[in-house]
Amino acid sequence: EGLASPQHVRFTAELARHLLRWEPGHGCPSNASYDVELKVYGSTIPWIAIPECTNTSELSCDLTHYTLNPEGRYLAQVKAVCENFTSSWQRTSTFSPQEAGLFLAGQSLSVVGNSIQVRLQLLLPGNITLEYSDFQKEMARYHVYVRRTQDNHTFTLVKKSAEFTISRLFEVTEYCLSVEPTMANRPVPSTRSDEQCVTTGHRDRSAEILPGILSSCIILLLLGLLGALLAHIYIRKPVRTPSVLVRQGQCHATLWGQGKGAGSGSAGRGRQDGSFSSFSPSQKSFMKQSSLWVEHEPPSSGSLDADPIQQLFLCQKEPWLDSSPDSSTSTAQPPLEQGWKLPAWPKDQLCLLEPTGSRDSSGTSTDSGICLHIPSSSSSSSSSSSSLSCSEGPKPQGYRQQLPTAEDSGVGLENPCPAPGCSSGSGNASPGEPGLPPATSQEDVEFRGYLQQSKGTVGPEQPLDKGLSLSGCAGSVQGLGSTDTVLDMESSELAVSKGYLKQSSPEHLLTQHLAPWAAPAWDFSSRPQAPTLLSWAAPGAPLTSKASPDLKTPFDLNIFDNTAFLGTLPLVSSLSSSWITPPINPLSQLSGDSKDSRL
Amino acid sequence: VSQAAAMRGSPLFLCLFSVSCWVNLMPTAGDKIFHFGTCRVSVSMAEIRAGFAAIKANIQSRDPIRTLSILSHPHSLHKVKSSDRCCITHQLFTFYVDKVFKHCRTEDSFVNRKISSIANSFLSVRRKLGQCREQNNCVCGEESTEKFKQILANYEGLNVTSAAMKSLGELDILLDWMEKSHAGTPACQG
Repeated sequence: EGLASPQHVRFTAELARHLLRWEPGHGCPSNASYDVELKVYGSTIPWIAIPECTNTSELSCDLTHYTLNPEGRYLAQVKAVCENFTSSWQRTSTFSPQEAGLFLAGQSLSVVGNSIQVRLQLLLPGNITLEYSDFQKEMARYHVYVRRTQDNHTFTLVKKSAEFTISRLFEVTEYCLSVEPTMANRPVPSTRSDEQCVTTGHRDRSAEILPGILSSCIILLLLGLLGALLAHIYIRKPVRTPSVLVRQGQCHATLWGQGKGAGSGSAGRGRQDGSFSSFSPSQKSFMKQSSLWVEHEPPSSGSLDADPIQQLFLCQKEPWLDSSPDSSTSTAQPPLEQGWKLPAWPKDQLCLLEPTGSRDSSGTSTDSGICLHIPSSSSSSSSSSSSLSCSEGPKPQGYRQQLPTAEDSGVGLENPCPAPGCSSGSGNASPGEPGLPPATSQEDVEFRGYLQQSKGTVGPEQPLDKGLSLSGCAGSVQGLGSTDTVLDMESSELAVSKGYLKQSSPEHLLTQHLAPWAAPAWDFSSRPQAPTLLSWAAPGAPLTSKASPDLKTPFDLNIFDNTAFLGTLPLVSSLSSSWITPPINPLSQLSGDSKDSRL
Repeated sequence: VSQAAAMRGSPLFLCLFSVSCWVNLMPTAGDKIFHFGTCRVSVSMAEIRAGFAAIKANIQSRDPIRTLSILSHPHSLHKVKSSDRCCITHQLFTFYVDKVFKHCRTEDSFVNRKISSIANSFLSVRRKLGQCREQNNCVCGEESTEKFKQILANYEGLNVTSAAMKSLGELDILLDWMEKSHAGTPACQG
């Protein structure tokens, strides 16, 4: 009868621990003994009996010392002896030490902040003869099983070296680790090490600060370099304005060509365009930058041909300009959100784009042909400029200068000139602008700013396209009265708008209810009450947009002036009543300076 | 302009670098790229080894002769010159494809499947090595030729089936020798 041979005879080898294991065969009582033999594969050397494992009752045999050759190929066989019965040999498959799995002699954990440092001990101390080859070390992969004690959450990491760190763990939490070494290039038997638990500490924030600071500094440095490079590329030296563009003093003409620009622009406008293009980039950039100008909505009707070009001339501030505007106006200048804001002329005179000296510069490029002069400036220039404005008939867009010369358009209203087109120093170049209350003629006339006029002849007594009849310089604005009709636009800011409506004094505007636009039955001479101003303020926004279109409606100049307020309603509301009371020289002022762009 | 050029160049450089690294990363740790001179061959070592390990006991139990080896000592492959490695590897792979796998049919379908997968892997490697040889990248020296002749002699000393089974059982000798002689992982390999 044959005794069943041991079953499942196999090598379970780890480095420096080549074990042969087996299981007892069937039918053999537990007191069976086993014999182990070893053979080298491919050689004629016969089987060798292992003395340590002869007649052993154990189920394993350590064959490390017999299988030390790393390139050797071995075979082992086991047989069971049970009383007087002997089983047949049960052989293993070939075994080479390279098949041995990695052996972890021990692992040590240490806590650093909220991370764990792990050091794996691969060899038993004292056993120097056996060690991993470089290849084996390279192919080693350590599967690390990390379990959080509090919720039994487990995750696995694969590390390639025997010393590694597990970071970004929860703070002050207990973790249990066990490592299972494997090989990347071959399947090897591996055993998972016992769990070892440790508690993490608090995160070392100080160690994280320095790299963060360094990295942020480096990033800032790089950004600064980039910004400097961009600045160098895009910012250029300011170019001097060609003298041609400067009318008086030193004026920085700024042109905004909107959209089409060309349109029915008169020659002047074309010229403006040209002049615009002639501006140096810096100037253009400057113009663009001065976002004070808010674009007026182009009138719905096509009355206004292509987007009007807004011109703003910035002239250097002159000392005597300061006197004219009173603080109130300056302070009262409300932001022209709605419509537009006049460029913040330093109370300078607006200079015509062209050096116009004569009234006949109607063909001047500037729409407004407005040249705001300082009140005390030479009336000639102003007159010329005003004449320009007045004479500029075809130009639909005129700029109505606002009386208060405080700043904005730097329009200095000089003594109002009753004659049409006579801006009498106010220099409002708004062609055909109804003379705004000439109160602006005084130094204290403040230029409010410009409300772009709808297309239409602004020239004196030239009806607007839509029939808005401007009484020209003389205009029927006489009724407008004094500066009341002049909207005091803080000319501190240059408003960018399509056109400018000279704003009459707020009071007047207020008095005239918006409704009766067509009915210029305003009592200009009378002083509008301040409260009315407020009433106007409300619909200011929509009105401003309508400012231009309104121009087309048949309005008297009076109304025109009043409508001009629309654009400046927001301003008006904020305007203090103080400047409502400027002396009004009604007719004279109106006539002469009815132009919006009262200079 | 120079900045613009640099801006264009740096991403391109990064792209090229990452692509080159990614190409090397393509084979996993189980897939090794063997360099035979200028010839690069990718072998899915882990896959072949896993398949072999599954049938090793079965195959080797069918080989009763334990005093003879086809591939190992004394006809050791370990003394092959590095310049001859390409040639002898190609010859060995050809030997296995032509003389071993087809004669290893067993009654166990599982074993047969594993043998087929190993055979397929060997086929692709042999093809690549053949291309290298055609490009004269593989030079067969006299020593390697002698060694291969010995292996063939050992093989033919047995009957076909036994020889095939024994050769199949010694497949891990070939794999170990390949790994050992080409020790050193390529860059970027995980």
